[in-house]
Amino acid sequence: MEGKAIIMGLIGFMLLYGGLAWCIGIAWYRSRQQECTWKE
Amino acid sequence: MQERERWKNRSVFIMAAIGSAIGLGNMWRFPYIAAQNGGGAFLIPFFIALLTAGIPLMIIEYGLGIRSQGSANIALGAIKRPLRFIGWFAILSAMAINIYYCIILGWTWNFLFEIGDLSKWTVDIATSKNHFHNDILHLSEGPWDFERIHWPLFFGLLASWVIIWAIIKSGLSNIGKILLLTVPLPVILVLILLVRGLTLNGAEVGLNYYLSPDWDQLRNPQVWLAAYGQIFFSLSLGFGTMIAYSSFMPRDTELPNTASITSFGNCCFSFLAGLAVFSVLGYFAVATNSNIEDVTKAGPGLAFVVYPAALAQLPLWIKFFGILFFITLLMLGIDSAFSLLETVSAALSDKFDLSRSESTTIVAVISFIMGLPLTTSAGLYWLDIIDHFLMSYSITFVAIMECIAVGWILGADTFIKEINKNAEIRIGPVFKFIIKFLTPAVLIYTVVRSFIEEIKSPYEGYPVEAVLIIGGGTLLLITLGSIGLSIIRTESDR
Repeated sequence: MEGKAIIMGLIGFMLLYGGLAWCIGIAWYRSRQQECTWKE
Repeated sequence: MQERERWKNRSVFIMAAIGSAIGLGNMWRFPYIAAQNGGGAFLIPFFIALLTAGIPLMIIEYGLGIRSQGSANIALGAIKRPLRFIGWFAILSAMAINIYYCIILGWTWNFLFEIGDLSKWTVDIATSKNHFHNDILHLSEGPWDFERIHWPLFFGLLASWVIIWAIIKSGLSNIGKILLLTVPLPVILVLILLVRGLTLNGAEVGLNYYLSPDWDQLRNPQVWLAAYGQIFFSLSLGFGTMIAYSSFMPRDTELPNTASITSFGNCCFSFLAGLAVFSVLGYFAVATNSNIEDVTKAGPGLAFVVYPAALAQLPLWIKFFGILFFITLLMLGIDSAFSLLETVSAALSDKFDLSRSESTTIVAVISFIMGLPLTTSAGLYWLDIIDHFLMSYSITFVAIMECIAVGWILGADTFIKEINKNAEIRIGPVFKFIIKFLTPAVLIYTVVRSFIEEIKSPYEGYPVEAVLIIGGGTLLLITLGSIGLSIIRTESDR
């Protein structure tokens, strides 16, 4: 496989899957934050 | 009024939205569009279009559904009463799309049931196309040559409608459970197809074609339009589905990040499907000594002609991978189809205060009957023309009007303030610029360009009267239906 194709594949993967992971990470972090500040 | 149903939680809502957005187009349109528009370089405009049009439009649709707690007609009517027409236009477009979406699922059933006899799956594309057109579709000479209803297609269509009717009729809590199957399963199946594809000799030829960047293409405006078009069609925007789905969430739901997760999830699947498709196409090109450009197709041509031919080339387990591929298509299609049914059913339910069971049954029966011409020998022609008109004009028109409704009539600042109350990612002036200027401009340019092309030469060389009567007639029916449903006043309108 050509080097350029591999690099573009990796860039595409990082942009899309990195974006998804970042958004899920924010949602998870905020839900944890809410749990910690919740009082009886 | 009946009490509004609710998704169990935010995760189920995201799962439902991703299931609706990921459809057959992710598998059979994205890889082709990417390869044709700069290969790996296409990922750059695609990513920018996702951030500057896909996610903002998704936020608009989610916002409309959540603030009104109703279907598209109620959501847009809440901004300005006459905008109910746009809402109904979106909903009836969803109904029309579902009429032909279910016949594609019907074709898939037919392929699945013939897998016992693989003698018809040939490695030659011309013969494979012949098999699809003559043995499956019984295709006639033109759009007015119906011949007769073909029973395998009739039962395929019936099976698709019975399944999605039963799912939607069962209610939101059951839909949530079904989504646990229909959303992850295609991802797992595509991963299996990808692993098989990558281990085939010649896979690198396909992947080079898919991913090698042609940077000069980035200066071509058509490539950018293709990226915006792909994002827009891929995310199920412009026909009220996301409005209906989000209306089943409470008013304090987080929106920008939810919209981002849905949109990124959809695009991640497209990228993965591209790898799975092109690794197999590369193998097929090498095995049959043909050019990769010649075996690269989009739409039904890829799923029902080239891919079966490529699978027939496999050294082992042809039936296993054949079943795997067509089940993937079914799973991709079913949750998109039932989301379209839910869109129409929820709107009727809201408007006429019908139970879920009543509204779902009414819509399913009417849609099934309207889909019967697609089971005749002229079915593919009708599907092709109707799909072209709905995608080029109808849903683009709705999306433009949604931007105008939120950006200009309701006021972008008011909308942003509402959304930011519960946001994990806050939106601001950039979002305002996008929904007021950028997205409407891109979409208006796309519609005008399609219209100019239409005048220059009829779509795909069909007879002018066929294009006008079938395509124009569909849009006219949707318009008249939308006017009628906007005018009729019921208890829910007061």
